[in-house]
Amino acid sequence: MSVNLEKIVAELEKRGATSSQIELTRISRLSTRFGENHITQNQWQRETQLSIVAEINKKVGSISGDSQLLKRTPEDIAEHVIKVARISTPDDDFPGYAPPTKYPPIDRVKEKIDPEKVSEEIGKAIERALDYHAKVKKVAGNVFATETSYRLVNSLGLDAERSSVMFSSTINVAAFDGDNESRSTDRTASVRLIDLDLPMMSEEVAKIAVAGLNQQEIEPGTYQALLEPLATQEILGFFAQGASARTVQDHQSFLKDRIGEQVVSENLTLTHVPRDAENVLKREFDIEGTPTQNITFLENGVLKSYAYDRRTAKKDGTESNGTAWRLFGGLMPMFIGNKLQPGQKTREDLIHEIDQGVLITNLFYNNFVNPPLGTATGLTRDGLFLIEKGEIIASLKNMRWTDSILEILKNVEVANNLSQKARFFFGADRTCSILTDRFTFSSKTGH
Amino acid sequence: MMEDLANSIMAEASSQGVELTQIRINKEFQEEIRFRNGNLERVNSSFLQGIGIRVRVESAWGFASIDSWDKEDALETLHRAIKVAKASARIKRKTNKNLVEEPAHQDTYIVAVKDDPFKKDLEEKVEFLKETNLRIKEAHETIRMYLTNYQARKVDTWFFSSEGAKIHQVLPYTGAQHTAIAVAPPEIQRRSLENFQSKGWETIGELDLFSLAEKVGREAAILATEAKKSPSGVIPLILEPYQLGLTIHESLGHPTELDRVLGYEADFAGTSFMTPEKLGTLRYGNEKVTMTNDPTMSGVLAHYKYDDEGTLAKKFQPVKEGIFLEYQSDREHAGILGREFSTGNSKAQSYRFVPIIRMANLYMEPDPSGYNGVEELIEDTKYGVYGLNWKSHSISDKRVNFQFATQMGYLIEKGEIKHPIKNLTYQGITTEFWNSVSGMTRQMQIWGLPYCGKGAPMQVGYVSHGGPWTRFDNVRVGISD
Repeated sequence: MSVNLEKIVAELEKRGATSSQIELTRISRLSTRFGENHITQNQWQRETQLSIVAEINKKVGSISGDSQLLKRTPEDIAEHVIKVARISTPDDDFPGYAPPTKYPPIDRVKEKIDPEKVSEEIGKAIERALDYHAKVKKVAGNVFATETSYRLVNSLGLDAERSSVMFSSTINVAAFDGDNESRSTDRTASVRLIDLDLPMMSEEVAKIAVAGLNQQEIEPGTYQALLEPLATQEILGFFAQGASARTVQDHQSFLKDRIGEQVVSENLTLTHVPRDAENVLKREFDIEGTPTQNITFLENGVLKSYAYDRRTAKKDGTESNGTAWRLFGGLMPMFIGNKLQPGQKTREDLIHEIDQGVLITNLFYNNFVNPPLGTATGLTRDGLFLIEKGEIIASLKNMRWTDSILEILKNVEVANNLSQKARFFFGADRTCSILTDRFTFSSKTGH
Repeated sequence: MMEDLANSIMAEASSQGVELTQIRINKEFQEEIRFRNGNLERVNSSFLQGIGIRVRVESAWGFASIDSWDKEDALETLHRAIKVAKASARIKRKTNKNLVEEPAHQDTYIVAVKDDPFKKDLEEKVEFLKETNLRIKEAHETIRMYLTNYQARKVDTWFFSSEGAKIHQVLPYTGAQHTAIAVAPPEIQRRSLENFQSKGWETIGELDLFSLAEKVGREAAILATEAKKSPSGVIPLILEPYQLGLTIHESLGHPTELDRVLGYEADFAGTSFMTPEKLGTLRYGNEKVTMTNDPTMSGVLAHYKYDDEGTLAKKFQPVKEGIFLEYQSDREHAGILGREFSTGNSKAQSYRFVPIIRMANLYMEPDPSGYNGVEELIEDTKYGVYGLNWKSHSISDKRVNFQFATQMGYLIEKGEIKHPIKNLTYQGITTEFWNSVSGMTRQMQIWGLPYCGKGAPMQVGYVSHGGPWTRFDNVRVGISD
């Protein structure tokens, strides 16, 4: 269905809108899940999301919906939005819309979604894990393929359009030795299905699952720890939340008033990389139409910048840096799609440096305990190992961790094994293994 | 019209050799008004309308959805569902398992509201909510941020199946939340209260948003200025019904979802320690602990008559007098386990999603001969802490080890509230925790939470939980602030 967004903008103006903005998103998403060595869910969603916002002297009204909304006339839609705007109360923090910019339409769709190909790759991945070892009994996971076309226009003359596709996958393998169960997992993302290399990933996950059998127990306490890339991503995710101007302005950030300070190890440099070709979330503009830029927001441990959208930027007297996303039911500035600068050493070198410590493959159900202090908690999952004198010597039962994010990142070394990992909920980052001298376990799980 | 559309889809599905077809035709209205620091941050109306079609081909599932009610679009969606099912069948389970039987219900069920939020004047709602938002700020000078969020939703669903089911269900949801953040350097504290129910605007009246605003503002200020550090140690803990409900949600609700138990959520949420051989034998809690799942209870957020597979909702007890007795199930997973019926817990966020097993209205039964009110419960507690409302949570992938933080807390000494405490955390092992219940009230409350995330891609589920004010002995509190 072709949609004349400019006509809606014109109707809004005719009815007295000071300014207006329209977002149109079309999504085709195939979500294939598997468990117990077969495909359990397979859903193919097609949907349209339309959002229209108009402002009359800082009084804002909006309407949103799916393609049914597009069946209403532009006059009818405009009438509704203006009616809502007129009865609104002024929003003194209204930041206005992005200035006029014409972005050339971008088509980054490398591959069309094909359910048969996805199933075929899943089949190979399941077989590869089962073939790896007789103790591997169960393979679970998912493949998500999302094709999105997005257009943003506003009454000031902004016109931005892009199409993209992203494939992501999680594989979880269970190995058994009698009643003893060990699971391992990995997540990845790419713009082509074949680049995920699911069979290879599945075999690597299976290796760790088998190695994780017959776990020992350790006591709570503080350990030297090697965090593998997925675990690193979780900890750095807390850092990205703290670096959002929204959490800072809401007094919910442990990084408030710390720009320019050495907050963590000088070995840590984090760059938001929306312009990098390798980033599956590559984008030229954010959802407010602000041009994106690569931003090193943590340089050698020094906090350099917060993520700003237009609203938070206005409040701090600065400019948006193109980091607006639709998250948690609203607009949120956030550094998502980040690259950790790799170090010189291999992960094996870092393991050799550990006299007594642990190797953590993944962290799960991680949440802030107290956001302004930066304390958080969560659990190890899918592989925890004991390291002594530079060697991995045993598999361990899972532990709960509770610690300060800044303390965990205070003394770290970064490995050189940069890889792209899908985030647990949304997006992807390029991250590495890191060695920290402090990781505190607060209790045992018994499994 | 709906029936004609469904019949067209059924006829085509039949001609394509589909074994089972389930169709959800869905229409949804939502309204949201959000104030931040006295400013109207968002006022939005949302309209969704579409079809979700689930088919079973060669004993494998396929699902497709589209935001349209056009016949041509519906048939194209059916063909996509079939294509996906055939792709699934390439890697299907080795042994075929049949779905459990369910009568083909034909019914219309409409939850009537006393005061329809969508018929109320929008300007009046905006003004009212603004006044209540400002009241938070007025509660104390330390309040630096204050939020008010109101949401109303009405979901109209027609369900048809090739087995003959025809169900029309209309469910309303309304609720609001106030949040305050108080800053008294170096302290920053947050307080938030809310409720969402399967009712109309009358929920807002029952919530008394002005009083709620004052309470939220006042208690955030108390936390930032007066509250003392939480004690650490292994001591008695009293939870009010909201926080009790969240603890039930995480430590009983999720581990008794049968898809999860059988390994079908291993890629995302994890598995469960409540494995099938423990059914009927596991001492989940002590004899005081009886948990009920009851979506038939009217007025609560997770109320419905039929689930999204057309199964009649049932009241049942996953745990009775401490013994684990039943899973939450849908027709497929009940069949895999060899159960005779589905418990009617198959729900989807909207037509866009495939239904998955979701907890509904899950709560702990009060003790009819228990304490007459929380005051009496506190009076009978020599030393301990009293925790109120969610601040943070985390639980292991098998749902064994959990940690919660509450927003508000009080120290109890010699049967009296001594003073407020901040940053109260408690940690436990699920079965040890529920075996340590030492007392509860006769009274109970149910709270609605429209936030439960499950599935991949993530679906948001509407749940309700609660129970009596309950005391647990020997709980580890004060892990970290």
